[in-house]
Formats: sequence, C-alpha cells, structure tokens
Amino acid sequence: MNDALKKVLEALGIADDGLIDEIKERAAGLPVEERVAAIEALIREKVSPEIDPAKLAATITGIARDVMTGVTEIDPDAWAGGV
Amino acid sequence: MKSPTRIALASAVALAIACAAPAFPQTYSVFDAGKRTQVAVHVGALTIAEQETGSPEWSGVEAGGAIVYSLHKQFSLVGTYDHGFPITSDRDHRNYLRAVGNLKVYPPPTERSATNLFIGGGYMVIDRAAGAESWQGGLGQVVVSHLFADGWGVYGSYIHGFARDELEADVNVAKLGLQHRLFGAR
Repeated sequence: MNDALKKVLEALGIADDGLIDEIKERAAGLPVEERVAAIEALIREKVSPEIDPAKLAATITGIARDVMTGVTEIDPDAWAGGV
Repeated sequence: MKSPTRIALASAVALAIACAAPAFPQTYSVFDAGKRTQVAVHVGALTIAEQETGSPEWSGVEAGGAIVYSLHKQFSLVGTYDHGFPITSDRDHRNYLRAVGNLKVYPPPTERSATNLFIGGGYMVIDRAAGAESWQGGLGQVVVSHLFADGWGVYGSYIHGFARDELEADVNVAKLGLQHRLFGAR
C-alpha cells in the first residue's frame, strides 16, 4: 500500500512520510468507503488549501454590506499586506 | 453614607477602566482617512519570470513603499511602488506600480496574529528599460507576512500578472524581504 500511495502522492507533488502516516491515522479503523473519502479529503486539503469559493463569496458580500453602512472597524495590521 | 474618599476612589477606577479599553470595537467612518491610512516601506529580493519561458527575466533587489487604506477589518486598498535595482551590470533598473484590493484571509476577523495572509487583485504596470514598452495588466497576488516586532515584519509574496496585450506574455513575480510601518493605525 505504501508504494502505491507514495506514487499517487508523488504524482500530486505532495509526497512525504509525514503525510503517509497522517493518511494511515485518518483511515485507521474506518470501513473501506469511508476510508477512501477520508483519504480523498485529506489529499484535497494538502493539494488545494485554498479558500472555499462559497465562503469567500459570503465574506466579500459581508464586507460590501458593512462598507455600505459607512462605518466599519479598521485592520491595524493591514499595512503588512502592502508589499 | 458614602465617604468622599470612597467616591473619589470609585470614580478613579471607573475612569481608568474607561480609558484603558473601549467597551466596543472601535469603528470609524469609511472616509476617515486619518484613522484608516497607513504608510509602509519594504526592501528585499524580487524576481520576475515570463509565464511561457519560466526563466527569470529580471531579478534583483527591490525597495519600495505602499499606501494602505484599511476600508474594513478584512479588506484594504493598497497602492505600491517598487524600484528594482539590478544585481548584474547587464540588467536595467525597473519600476513597478500596483493598485490592489487586499482581502485578509488569515487570521479570522475576531483575532489578531503575528502572521497575516492576504489575497488580492488589481492592476500592475512594469516600467522596463528606457526605449522598451511597459508591461501592463491585471494581477492576482498572495502575500504572507510575519510581524516580529512593533511595526516590523518579513514578507513573501507571489504575483501573477495577466498581460493586457495579447502579444505580451503573462508574468510571475516573487518577492521576499523586510517591511516596516512608517505611520498609521497600530
């Protein structure tokens, strides 16, 4: 199993022993179908840790709604993004 | 009956609490430029590569500044200027201008952290060597910053530039360096 899994992870560019151990832990004791789903979820987390598009859209809508009120809080660390 | 000493003591404690921390998060008008504007400078390494070739087209040392307008605790408008100093004599100086809307995606809005992650979109102009046309186009960027002292941080960023001109290639820009807040809210 290790070799096959390692090949898959290598193809995705995320192969490392720590991740293989994490997958084993996540899948341990689960029925086969749930094991596949758990492994898939973990790999998706590692391959694409980007923000959920629906969550991002909700965040942007919320910001726009707040700004439209004309009064908002500020981010004192916003300057850190100015590079 | 309350003694004047007890009343004075209670008043002093109440005043100290009121001055130490506001009871509610502080909010300001979205047009309050005095409260919302921050100015920062940065210096570091910069490399730019064309999408098609992948090989670095230009690399060197950058020094620049940014004006940041914090419109919301999770969103800011940023204007930056970077000057690129070549590290080899066969390369020219470069100027980079960007106008960006930055969305703060880490930490969550209820928290404050030394590490901050921003994603942004906007417009970029790269002024090339004299005689050559400047590159222009939209951009998407990711900035990660780690603040290690009051007003000081280290940053890493990746910018993808989408060429406006069909004859131009998209560009990838990577930056790494030291940043400092000159003034603004803290």
